[in-house]
Amino acid sequence: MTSDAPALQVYPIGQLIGVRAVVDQFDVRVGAGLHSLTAADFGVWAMAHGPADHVPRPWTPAALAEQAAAVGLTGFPERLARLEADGLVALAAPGTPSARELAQRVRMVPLVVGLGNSAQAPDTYSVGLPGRPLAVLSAAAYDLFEWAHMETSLWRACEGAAETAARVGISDAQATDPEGLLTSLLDDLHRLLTPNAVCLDTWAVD
Amino acid sequence: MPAPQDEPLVLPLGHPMGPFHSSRGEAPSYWVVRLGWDSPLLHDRATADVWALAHGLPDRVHGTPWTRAALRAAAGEAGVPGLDERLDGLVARGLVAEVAPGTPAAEQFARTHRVQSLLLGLGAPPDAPGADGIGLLGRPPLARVQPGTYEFWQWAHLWPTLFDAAAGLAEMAAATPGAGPEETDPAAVLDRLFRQLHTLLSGNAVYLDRSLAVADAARTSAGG
Repeated sequence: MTSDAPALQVYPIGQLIGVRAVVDQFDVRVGAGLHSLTAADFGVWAMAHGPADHVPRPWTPAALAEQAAAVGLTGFPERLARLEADGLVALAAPGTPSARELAQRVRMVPLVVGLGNSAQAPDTYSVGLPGRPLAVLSAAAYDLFEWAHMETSLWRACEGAAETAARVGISDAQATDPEGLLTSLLDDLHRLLTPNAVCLDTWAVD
Repeated sequence: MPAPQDEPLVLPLGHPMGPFHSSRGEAPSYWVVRLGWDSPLLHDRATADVWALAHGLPDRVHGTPWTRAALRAAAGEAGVPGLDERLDGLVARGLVAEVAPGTPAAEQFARTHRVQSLLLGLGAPPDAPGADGIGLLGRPPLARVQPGTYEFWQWAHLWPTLFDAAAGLAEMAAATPGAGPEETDPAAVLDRLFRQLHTLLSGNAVYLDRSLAVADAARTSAGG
């Protein structure tokens, strides 16, 4: 691998559906399966959502390890490996076959609502809760937020969005190329994962 | 089986996608909802407000069935004009359904619609067992619901329709020792789900959608 190769990044999979902190139990649903995590393992899964300081950067295992060390979380490599083996995180490098492989085995599911654009910034769109935007997206990313979960995989969603863009005469090569759409989305996905605006899920993936 | 409710509940359909401003400094041209494979538009603010109010007010839905009368009162207090006319229009367009739990029409609705969960499950706080929270980490819950409703939020979206979800949840309950008929009878479960839906809808913890089978059929029909 050259120094220019896209870096492998960590992507969390699943939705937090229960917390019982008094008994050290954090329940994460992936598809129809339930994974009960300890606080320490949950800490790694939660950190996989993105940088705590919200400064965008490739969310690599090394970056995640640094954040884990900063909060005194021990046993990080083993915990991350276990989460990956259990299907609760995935490693993928945007723009490479590993990204396509990830996109073929997950769906991207919204956890909040669309807030549309604004009179001040009609070219960008927010997602979040009424009166509480959590992330600002491009029109193309907002389109995927709205529609991607209707498809049977994130990859199918990128293919569908590219087909639609081509059909309506959009000339931007980025918008009509499913690989380009996926790369752009995965490069920026932690900005949506950190505030839990979306999650990756394996349910109904075909 | 519980007695049918006389006045129907008002159920909003679709995932909100917010206002669309066509140019800088302009008022919204319309509001967007994603419903199945369609994105119907709400062309004025009052209609968008009525659709939003159909989700219920979080501080009322625990004690008040969210019916047209409850919605009319809320709209009046919010200064939203023309409630009945706008609500009729939304019903005609399939963006709101009026459903009386326990009726054949409610079962038909349940067989053609599904629920999708949003947000995260935060569980019950130590000081309020039996009131599970749904929301985002580090913030107060946006919905606090009974354990049975929480279970519905956790799992019901995995079934293709509300009807299947009620049957599945009843089957799960039947495997639990000591479960009563109100938990193991699919019709009773469905009835309870309908009556509790606004405790989830009002906090944006779920939205209702066409079942995928219905959505796909509508898409094929439109495309053909």
